[in-house]
Amino acid sequence: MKLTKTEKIWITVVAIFYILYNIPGIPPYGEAIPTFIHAALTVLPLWIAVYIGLSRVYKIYKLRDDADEETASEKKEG
Amino acid sequence: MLSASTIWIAFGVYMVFLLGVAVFVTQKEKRQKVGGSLLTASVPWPVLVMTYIASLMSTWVFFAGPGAYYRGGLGYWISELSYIALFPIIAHFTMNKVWIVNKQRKGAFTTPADFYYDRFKSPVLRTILGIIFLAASFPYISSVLVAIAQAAQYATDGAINYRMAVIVVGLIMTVFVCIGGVKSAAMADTVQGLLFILMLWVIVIACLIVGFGGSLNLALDNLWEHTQSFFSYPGPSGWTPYAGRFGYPFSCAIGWTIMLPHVFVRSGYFGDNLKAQRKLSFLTPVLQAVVWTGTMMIGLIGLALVNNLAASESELIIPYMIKNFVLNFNPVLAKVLMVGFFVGASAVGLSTANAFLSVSSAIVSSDLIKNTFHINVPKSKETLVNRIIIAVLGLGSLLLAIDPPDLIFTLIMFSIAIVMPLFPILVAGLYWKKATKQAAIVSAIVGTVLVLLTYFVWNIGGTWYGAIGMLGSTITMVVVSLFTKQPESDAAPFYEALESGMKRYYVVKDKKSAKAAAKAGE
Repeated sequence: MKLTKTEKIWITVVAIFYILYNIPGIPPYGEAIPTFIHAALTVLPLWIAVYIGLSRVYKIYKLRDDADEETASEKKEG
Repeated sequence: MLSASTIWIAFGVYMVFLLGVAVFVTQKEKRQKVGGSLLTASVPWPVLVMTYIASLMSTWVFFAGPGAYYRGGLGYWISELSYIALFPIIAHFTMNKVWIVNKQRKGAFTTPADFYYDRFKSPVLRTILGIIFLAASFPYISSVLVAIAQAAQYATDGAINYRMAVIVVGLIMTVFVCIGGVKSAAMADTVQGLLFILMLWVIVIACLIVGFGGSLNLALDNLWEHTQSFFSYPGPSGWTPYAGRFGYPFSCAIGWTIMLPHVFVRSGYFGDNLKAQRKLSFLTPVLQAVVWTGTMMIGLIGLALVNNLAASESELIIPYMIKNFVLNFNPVLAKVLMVGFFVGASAVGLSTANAFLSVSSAIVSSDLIKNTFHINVPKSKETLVNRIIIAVLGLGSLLLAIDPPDLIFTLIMFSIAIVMPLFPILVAGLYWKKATKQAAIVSAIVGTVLVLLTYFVWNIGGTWYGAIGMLGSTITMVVVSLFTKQPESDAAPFYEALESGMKRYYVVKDKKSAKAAAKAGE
């Protein structure tokens, strides 16, 4: 199963933000303001990256309108 | 605070609603002459989204959740947002492909292990997975019954006997799933899901009005002054250290939202078309964020009002606030909220329990009875046998809940952890043609053993959950696949189905394929 370039970029960007969010030591324990800044710089972009990537991937993987019709082989079986 | 009769009437009305849904769905199917199993479903997107969300909500939203935010603080909520966002990407790369293969097989899959068998063609693997998924289901069903019975006891100041509540709720749950099966459960989730999300926010707003005159700023100022640790890691009770901020959400991203059997079948098998699957991917994080934020707000307001509750009391922070604050403010409002809390907690809990009960019945009937012991049940008696299995499993969970082990709530997280090592096998099965059945079997066993060690030997289950088991199963899957061989013909039909399914459902419009098409045209 091959991935498109967009899918590879999508998964990489999301993984980067997820890793950035989870770097130990940041923000320091007991510090409220750095906690807000850290969330704004990691979790917020993570959400944005997920949804932008989702819409781009959906544009590449267009759904077929006739997908739910029986395929030729199914008709033969039937 | 409430009389026993008030709780029984509220619960009775709710149960009449549930049984009404079951009868309605059954009659509708008869009228439309739709055959089909009690244990499978193909549903439109609103039902798919709501049954999925309701299955995730469980009793967590009204019980453990507010208490967790009370102890874990804002950092705990942020860590949850970090995993909630991941669902669309995980679903795109795994569950939508699972859905395509199932469609190519004409919706024949009923259990998660059916999918793995289709790829690896190993009866041994199917049996192992069946046992693991079943082991993950039982504690969940029992824990829901325990939580609902405890809520009834607390709401009535002990007027309702715990055991009586377990028996009544357990029996109703079993009868509901026996009559209506998985489709009724999904339909009931849709009707009640939005209602109880609304109820959650009504409780939030009521507590905010009572405690702080409706001003969120006042609540935040109060917290900032008295419990500033709420706003930073590791939270007021040290619940969200760096390791926990990764281990718990990561386990939720894989175990809670994808691999637990009741959500696996919902996100992989239930959508009636790929548009429904896409709506599920798109809407799930948004709805989850709405619900989880409401739950966090309850923890926040509770902590701002009273900051020295014991852990066990903080789990019941909603009824605690109703009893100690709302009651003095307005007794009628307090009663309405307490009934709403009890019915809401019961409803979302039962959604999860019903979902688990139906999928574990499918595991017993398909993975174990049919495919492990090779007992063939005649088609005409399938529904009856499924009902008997549902009844036996439902009553078994009820008995476990009557006298629950001390570990019952730890076992819920253990359930999530124990299914995590099966995720790398799923990914390898989808994307790596050289992945072998031998590797899948060893990987499932090694991952499970590592999770057991994490919990019961190393005692770090509360931080790492299934992460170590998943790492172990990933490495094992790769290494053993490189050293073993399986005839290509075993996996060939699977990949044919996946590739032809991809062509059937998608038109791929990336630059590479456009270039290739242009070249072919020249």
